[in-house]
Amino acid sequence: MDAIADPNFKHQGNKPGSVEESPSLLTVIVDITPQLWTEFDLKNGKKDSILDVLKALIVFLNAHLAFNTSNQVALIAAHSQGIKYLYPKNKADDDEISSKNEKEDRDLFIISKNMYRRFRNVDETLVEELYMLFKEEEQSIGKVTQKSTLAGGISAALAYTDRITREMETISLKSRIMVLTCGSDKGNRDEVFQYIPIMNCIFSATKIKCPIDVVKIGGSKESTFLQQTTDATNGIYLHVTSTDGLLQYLSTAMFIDPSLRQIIVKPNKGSVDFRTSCYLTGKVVAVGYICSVCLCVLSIIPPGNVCPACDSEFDERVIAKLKKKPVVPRLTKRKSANHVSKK
Amino acid sequence: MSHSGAATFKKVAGIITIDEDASPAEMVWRSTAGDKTHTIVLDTIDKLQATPATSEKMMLRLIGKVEQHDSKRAKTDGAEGTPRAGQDGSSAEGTPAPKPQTHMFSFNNREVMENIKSTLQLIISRYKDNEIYEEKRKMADGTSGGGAGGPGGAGDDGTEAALHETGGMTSVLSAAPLINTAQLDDSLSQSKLLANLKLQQSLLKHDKRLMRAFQETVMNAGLGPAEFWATRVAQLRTFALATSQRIGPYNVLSTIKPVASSENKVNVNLSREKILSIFENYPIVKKAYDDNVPKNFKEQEFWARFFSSKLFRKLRGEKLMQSDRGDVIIDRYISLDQEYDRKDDEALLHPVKKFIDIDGNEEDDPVKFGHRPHFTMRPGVDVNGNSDGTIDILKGMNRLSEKMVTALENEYSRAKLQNDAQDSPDEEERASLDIRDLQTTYKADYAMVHLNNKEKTNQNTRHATQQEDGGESAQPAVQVSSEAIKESITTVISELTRDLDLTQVLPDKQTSIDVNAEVISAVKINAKQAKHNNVDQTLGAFVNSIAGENDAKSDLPMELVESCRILHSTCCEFLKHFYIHFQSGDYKQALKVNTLYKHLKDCISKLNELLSDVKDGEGDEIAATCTAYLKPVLTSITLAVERYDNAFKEVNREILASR
Repeated sequence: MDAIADPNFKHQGNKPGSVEESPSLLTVIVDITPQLWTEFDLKNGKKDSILDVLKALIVFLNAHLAFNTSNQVALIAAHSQGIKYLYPKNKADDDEISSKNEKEDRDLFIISKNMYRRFRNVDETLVEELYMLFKEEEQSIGKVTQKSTLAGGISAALAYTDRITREMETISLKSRIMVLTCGSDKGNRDEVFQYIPIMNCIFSATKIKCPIDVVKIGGSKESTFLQQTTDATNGIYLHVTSTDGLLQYLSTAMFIDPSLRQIIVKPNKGSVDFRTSCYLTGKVVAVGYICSVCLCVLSIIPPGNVCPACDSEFDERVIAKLKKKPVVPRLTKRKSANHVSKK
Repeated sequence: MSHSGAATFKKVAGIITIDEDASPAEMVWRSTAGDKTHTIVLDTIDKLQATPATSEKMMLRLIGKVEQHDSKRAKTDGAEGTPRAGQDGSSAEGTPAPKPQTHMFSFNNREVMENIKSTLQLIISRYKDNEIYEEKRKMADGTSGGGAGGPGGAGDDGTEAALHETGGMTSVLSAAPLINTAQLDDSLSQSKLLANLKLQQSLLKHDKRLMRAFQETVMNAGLGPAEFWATRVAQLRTFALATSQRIGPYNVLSTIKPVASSENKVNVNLSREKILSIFENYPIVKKAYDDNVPKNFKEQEFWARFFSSKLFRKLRGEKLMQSDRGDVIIDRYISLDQEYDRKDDEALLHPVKKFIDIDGNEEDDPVKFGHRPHFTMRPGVDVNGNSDGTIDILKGMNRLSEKMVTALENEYSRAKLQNDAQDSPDEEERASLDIRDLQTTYKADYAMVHLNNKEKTNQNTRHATQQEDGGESAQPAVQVSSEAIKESITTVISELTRDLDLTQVLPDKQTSIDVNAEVISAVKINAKQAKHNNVDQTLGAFVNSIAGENDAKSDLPMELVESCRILHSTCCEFLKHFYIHFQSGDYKQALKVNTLYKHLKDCISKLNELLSDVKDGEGDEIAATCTAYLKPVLTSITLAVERYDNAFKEVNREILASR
């Protein structure tokens, strides 16, 4: 009897102890726009901070992979001309480009061969793709930079997350998104124009219950919309002044599992600015006007009574009502002003 | 229940009949020969005695009441009616006055005697309860004015039931809705709400906080009540709706639960509303009541009879057994009730639209013609075709439910809704019967909103923001040359082609420690806050953990916080009204704006007064907290005053300059 009962018992006893943490997907969006980073370098008097960031990021991704054998990573770059999946590689591009570049790149063994295979797979692809990306960037210096690549990156990440979660439905994959951006002063201003796409991302992220974390390096401490993003999605907002110790930041603050978000106290600093920006002037507004069609926020009554975002015409009477502002105590004052002053 | 039986009275065989139709009820004994009768009016009977079941003799003795003023109504036609004295000392009153009258009957069948006995018991106890009630009423007449109704006796298997009514008339009157619920849309209009003083008063009574605000602003500071309410129309409307809701008709009888009391009686509590509700729901009861009260019996007797009747059980939805004891008079209405039911069924029948009315062609009725369905297909009927009454009960319940629903039809503007719907009664039917297989499927139509993200706008704003940059930050914007960018890209590329040494990424120890400390300190600060807030899982927002504990902790004494709060709400109230009129663009409002402006100035001085008082009286620390509390409102009032001043100067520039 004992012989039969014992193993059964042990088996059951082991189970709760060996419960594996549910696997999770980490999607990172990194802003590599060279202009921003060069600006940052100039300001801090350092060189090539982007490299430090990328290295720290690679280690961070490896660490995530190391947590659980089923863990997955994805890396999306937002660059000056658009976005690019760095890992996993885009298969369509792959065939075309790899054949072309095979000769020059494949013999460069950038990553040491002794590395753990899962790390190496990811890291090699990343470095390769980054290399290609920077080559592209070299060509596009001086071109007009796209505005909302970061928001585009987040959208792409959400789409990817949603797809993978559906594919992996059986293992109930948890997912989170991390945005790594460099905040120059100008970059912060540009962010203003990303308001609508970022808001859309927030809504989708809350819907698929995917927290979005933000690490902002340099620039101003606050980042209105990215902070709103983290606040709405249960994410963490971290502002780092320099790239020193970035890996430490990432590993202390950025490894909170999505399932623990409700309970754990997050290392957010300061309070979130919930204001939005004016579509026309880019000013952050607390009280303003809003278009009833596209919800575009304005701080002034737009010229021509037309919404600058969606071209819908505003009702003249409503505009007249808004413009009616001029104050009240007039005519009567002319009579009563004397009257009052006499008293 | 048998009301007659053979009995021997004074050794003459005869038949006893109990006549409940007479009021008061009578018991008549008639000799078989028909030459002798003996009538006993039952409300004069005080006691009823019967030989026990064990005894061989079967006798029933009725002992009459002893009354001071001699009003014996029992008369004997039989010549030698000699009253026999109660042997068991029945004259417990101990009054030696006239001896009670006794009537003695003997039976030859115990069952018959038992039947007669229980019927008599029931009737006699009913009369007795009446008397007790009358006495009580006489005594209580001075004290309780409103309480109408009273106890009555009702027998149920030899027990007695007393019925108590609680005077509920006053509460019914006070619950009259404050608005006209029949025309809800109309009564909830802004003008009606603002004119409804009664409603406003009761809302003020109801909401203490609002009352305080009203006192402060309207009574003490002179804001017009119309203004006060104009901004609270929504609140008024909500309150009106909330208070005007009332309980609709419900299954009253099922809520009436007889309670057994100590004296072997069954008590039924019945309130005025319940009686009204019964009458409303069951017209048959109303009819029975109208027919019999007060002609045949008093109100409480009616209810006592009703609750012991079969009619009551039927209406309540219980199965009627052949052996059930009922009430002779009330039970007569059962057959009438069936007639009522039939009428109800007709009234409640949903009119079938002509478009799909199969009954229109009676030939098509499959139930009328053809074979009789098998007994398994006939609900509520067993093999022999006997109905157990379940179907009737179910039907009755359904009827009741439908009546309840229809009773609400005219409430809350629903009549209007129905009229609207009936404009095209067949339209909906037709639409639902349309064959649409070949029609194109409905496609959701979205309006495309084209968002302009024009480079032009961006360029414009770029200039604007850059200008702002210069003003805002002391740091000059770093100009990045394309060479610098190129250089950095080249280094990155060259770096990427070289061996990547990831072991160097880890920061040195001191940096790591610093970073750690930084993150942990942030967590610590947040943890303190997190203690005060509980995350609501469903809302995803912070909510207060304990209901009612809305207040954050304050160092200030309670009275001070309270006065701060009142002052704050008063200021906000004035600010609100000031802006409403200030921005209205209607020059007629100018005077009102002016008075509100003065009120605002008063508010500023009141605020300053309070702050300086606190500073003198309570010390700097508390004054600082107090200032922190009131600073926002002070700032906003100052801003409003400033705006007014500027606008005033602007408008009257010429006049001011000319002076």
